[in-house]
Amino acid sequence: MEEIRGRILIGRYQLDGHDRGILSVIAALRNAGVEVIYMLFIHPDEIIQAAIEEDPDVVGLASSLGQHEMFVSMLIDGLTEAGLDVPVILGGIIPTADVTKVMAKGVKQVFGPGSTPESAVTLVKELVKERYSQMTNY
Amino acid sequence: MWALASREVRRQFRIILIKTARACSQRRLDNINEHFRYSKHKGDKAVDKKFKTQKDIWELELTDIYEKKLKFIPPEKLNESGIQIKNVYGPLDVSHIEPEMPGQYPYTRGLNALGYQYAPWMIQMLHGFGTSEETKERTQFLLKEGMRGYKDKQAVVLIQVDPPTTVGMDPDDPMAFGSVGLGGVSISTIDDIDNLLKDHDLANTRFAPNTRFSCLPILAMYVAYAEGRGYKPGQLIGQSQNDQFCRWTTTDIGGPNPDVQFKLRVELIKYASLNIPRWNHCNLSGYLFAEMCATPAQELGLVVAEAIDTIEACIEAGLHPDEFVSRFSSQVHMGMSFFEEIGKLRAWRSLWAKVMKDRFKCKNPKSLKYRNHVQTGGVALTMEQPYNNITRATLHVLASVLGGVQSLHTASYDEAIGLPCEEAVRSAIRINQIIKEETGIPDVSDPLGGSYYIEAITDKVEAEACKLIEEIEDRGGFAKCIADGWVRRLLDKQSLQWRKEVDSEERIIVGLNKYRLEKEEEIKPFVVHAEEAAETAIRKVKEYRKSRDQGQVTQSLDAIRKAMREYDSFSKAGILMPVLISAAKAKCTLGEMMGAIYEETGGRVFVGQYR
Repeated sequence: MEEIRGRILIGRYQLDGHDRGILSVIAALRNAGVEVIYMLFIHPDEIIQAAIEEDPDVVGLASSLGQHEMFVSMLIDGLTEAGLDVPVILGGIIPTADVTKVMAKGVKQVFGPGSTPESAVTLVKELVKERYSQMTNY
Repeated sequence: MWALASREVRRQFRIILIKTARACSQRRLDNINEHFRYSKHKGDKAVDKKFKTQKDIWELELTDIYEKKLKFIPPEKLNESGIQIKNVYGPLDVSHIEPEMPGQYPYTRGLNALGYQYAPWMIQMLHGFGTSEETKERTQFLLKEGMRGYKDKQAVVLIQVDPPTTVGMDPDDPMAFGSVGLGGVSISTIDDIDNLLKDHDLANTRFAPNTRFSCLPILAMYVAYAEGRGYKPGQLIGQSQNDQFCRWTTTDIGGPNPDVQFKLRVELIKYASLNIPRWNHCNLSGYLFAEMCATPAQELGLVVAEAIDTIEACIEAGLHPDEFVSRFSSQVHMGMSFFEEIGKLRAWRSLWAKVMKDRFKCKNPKSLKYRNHVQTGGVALTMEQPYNNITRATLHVLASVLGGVQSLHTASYDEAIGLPCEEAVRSAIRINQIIKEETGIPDVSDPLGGSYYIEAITDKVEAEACKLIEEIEDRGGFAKCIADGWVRRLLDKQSLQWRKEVDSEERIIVGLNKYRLEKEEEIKPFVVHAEEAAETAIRKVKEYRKSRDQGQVTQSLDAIRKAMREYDSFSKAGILMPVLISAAKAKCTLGEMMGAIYEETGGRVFVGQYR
């Protein structure tokens, strides 16, 4: 069977200039064959709109300015409202103290300072696989 | 028996070798004598001969003992700038370097004869978050703990602003949603500036708002504010960051298109040079380049290339280099490569002096003396085992001081997870005070001057930087390399390489990819109450707009648009700042003034589009 490439939609808040981390994650994902759609947003609604149009297997949020809790809530509520069942992962400067909070809101995994791009690639591939196995079960 | 014999044979062999080496090297020895620069040694044949012999023995030891007996061949080492490091340095490595004293051209050994003995480095902590009231509280805390300007006398208000302010938006702009007061304070009106500065004597306070694209409106508001308090612009001291290219390229948040950024920069330089002579009009940042993993030599090369382009544009704008060059300075990054970073700071001064003297024919000695502010590296800090960051920052401060820097911002141990708490910034200030007051380090000017290694590495970093400058010039100059994305592509390559090295553990970061803990110690992150800060800022800017004559505002904004339309070449520089100051006096907000500039010049563009 041909390996499923999978596609991820990654959003970074437009005025959050910390993009070094997310760019290395994107490079690692692309090297691993994952299709990456990278967008800058002002309001999380834009990610939801893009998710409706692009049907990604995973949605990633990059946040390093301290808005992660607010954006995660808005994003996950919006995706649910839109009827999209897509896993959300979060990366950036996320203090350890906040990890459980955002996971409780429904984030699959947090890649804070100190995590490697490879660990994000592994998880994304797993999530993609999971999603396709569910699809074939129908 | 055999072992003893062989040792004896070996000894004899070595003696023969040394004798041969001595004989053969007589010519080289003469050569060394000729080049021996250090006056203490110069002509002292006994010293030269002794050293020469020692050097031969040292080399012999490498082959005979380490290589053959201990089977150890030292690995080849490259420093961050890609310069090959030798196992040891000696007089031959510095024989081409002219001896120099501190305070003398080209200032490799420092800008002043007595260095820190007369004026210690300034402890300037960049700070700002939430509302202007909260930020002011932090300013007062820092001043109490020891934040000081020149000669420990001036107060320092070095303010970090939030992203909307940097870009040039008011807090109630829909585009600013969710980021007001984060990572800095929101400044959109003269009232905000008043909140920060009302208790300060402006003639004795260094006000340095760390804005990027909106430097002009902020300066216009500051001038209007100061005049309102009875000061003349000429009395003001402080700094405009005014290094738009660097921010636009390294942190992709969108700003005016590069041509417009360049015009704004030249406009500010011209206005400040002619009206606020003590204002530092342009702080060319190498910091952000280095946070994107530019090497020390690249950082220096990029900044000097940027300076060359900027100075040429200012000449087109009708200024003579000696009128404005002395007010350039840099925000320099400090990384972990200790001696190389010291060399970088020394090379920075010497390269600057040479470029200004030879290329721009500067006569004013101040134009040749380059002042640097170091910001200790954020990228070196780890979230893991955060107290290790105090050690890192200490090494950064030490390297900066040994490199002869004028001013320092020291990162706090908790900055890998966000803005610092009070306790953490206090300890960052204390690093400076311990080095300054407990160690005797400032007692001697350029204490490392004359070290073979330091002198050699200074020279090599400078040479590497020159290569990059040449390359940039061949590519059409710095502004072009920014606008066509070349600099960003270079930095992307560098940061991906860094990632690779960390992941493969070729580059060790203690606590991150080595010496990890099973369970990480956690520290409490400093929390900014952003929602309240945003509410306050929005309420205040709305009140501000109600309190003014709307007709005057419309007129002022039209005048800004008109000035931007007319400003079609650097030779027209000088027409924008006066209308911005009038607009500030008419109580136009930062977002409105910057908005008028954006409207007239095609809005914001992103470096990502050019990659």
